[in-house]
Amino acid sequence: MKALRRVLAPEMPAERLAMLRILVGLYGVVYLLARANVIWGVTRYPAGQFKPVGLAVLVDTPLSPALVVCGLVLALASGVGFSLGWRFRWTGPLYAAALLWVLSYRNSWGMPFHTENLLVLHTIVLAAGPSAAAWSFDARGHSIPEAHARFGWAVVLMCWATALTYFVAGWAKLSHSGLEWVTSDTLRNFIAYDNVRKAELGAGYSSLGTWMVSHAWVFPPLAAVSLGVELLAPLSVLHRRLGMVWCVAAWGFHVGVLALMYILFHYPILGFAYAPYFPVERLGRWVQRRWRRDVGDAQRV
Amino acid sequence: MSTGGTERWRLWAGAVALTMTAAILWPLVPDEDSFPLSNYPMFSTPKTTRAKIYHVVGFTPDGRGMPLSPSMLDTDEIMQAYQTVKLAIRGGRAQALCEDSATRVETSDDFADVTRLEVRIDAFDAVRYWEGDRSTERTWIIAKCGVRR
Repeated sequence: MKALRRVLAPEMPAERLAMLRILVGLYGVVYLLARANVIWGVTRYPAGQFKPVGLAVLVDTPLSPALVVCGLVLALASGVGFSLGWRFRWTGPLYAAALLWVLSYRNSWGMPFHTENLLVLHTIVLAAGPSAAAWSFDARGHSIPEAHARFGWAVVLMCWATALTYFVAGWAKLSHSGLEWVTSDTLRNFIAYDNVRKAELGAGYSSLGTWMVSHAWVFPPLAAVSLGVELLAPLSVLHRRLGMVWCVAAWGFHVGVLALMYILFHYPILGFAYAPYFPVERLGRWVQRRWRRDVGDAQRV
Repeated sequence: MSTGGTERWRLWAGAVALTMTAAILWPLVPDEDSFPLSNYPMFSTPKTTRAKIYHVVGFTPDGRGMPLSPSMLDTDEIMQAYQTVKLAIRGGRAQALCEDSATRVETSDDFADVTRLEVRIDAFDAVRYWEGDRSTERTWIIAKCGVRR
């Protein structure tokens, strides 16, 4: 039981969870700003294309453009509060709900984009945990709490959420195709098909992927590695080093997907999906040291 | 929430962890794709070399065809563009899509030579396509419209 507790809720510094709040929060806000045109763009789609998913199942028909903008503004404003740890008891859950709403609605037009799933899941975990106990507006004037399991569980749960999403993707391949997904030409055919689709829709495609299509022998080993990374993902939470090795393998998998199919899973490629596996508080401490040194230098001048 | 000094946080953490685990695994049961919970069906089913492509193709007066880019379908995203065409065809809105696209093509420098559009489904052999044979196995033309110049 103790061993299980050590795995599921190990003692961790409050700063690690805080740094994850800052990283994932800022990522979400920047992402919403960068995709604002796409989120707004759905207001021009015909109503017949509306197929609600996620939280958007709460509405039967498309919303007015004004309400779409309101949702986006609410998500952005609460996202800033979330990132800063300002009144986190309210902004945390509010931002998680608003982000889920805005991205659910944007994904409700016939094409769910799986690239955003993990961002939302991580945000929900952060909102549910004591993520503003350090490095936040709420914690100003308080000393940073000592490392404790009540900070560790949320970090582990973020890792677990990451791992499970990969596992589900791997399991889907096994249940839909069996081991033939590895032994047949399925992966090659998908890469060929996806690039044809891009070319025939007037978009860029992968020259490397299309060149490799003629070399069928390459694909079964690639498929085996991909499926292995997905199905073995849950083991990554058992040991810190094992987790780090898995992160490198999973990141390489996404680099491969980008190189062969021109599909950018931005959240993992930029490392945010794997951040909970690493002592990211060191990044925050480094920034703090730099900041203090720069302020000290400025005062001396 | 879970910041109290007592051990109540353990109950909260356990409840959140169990809910999250069940939620992420749930799509495997009905085998359903949604957001943010998904069974990640893309690329999981067996796939032959046949590629059925739903797209809008512009034609110049001399008959040269060029697929319209996603921006001509009012989106920046390739997959959204694909779904827009697919859903328009399935929903009986192909003609409206053709005419909407034509208004964007009218003002586009990239498609300045295009005088007519076709909303169509083209079937290719995806492997042969990249080996140089880009002929279609079959084509369904769903809607046609002109581009005013």
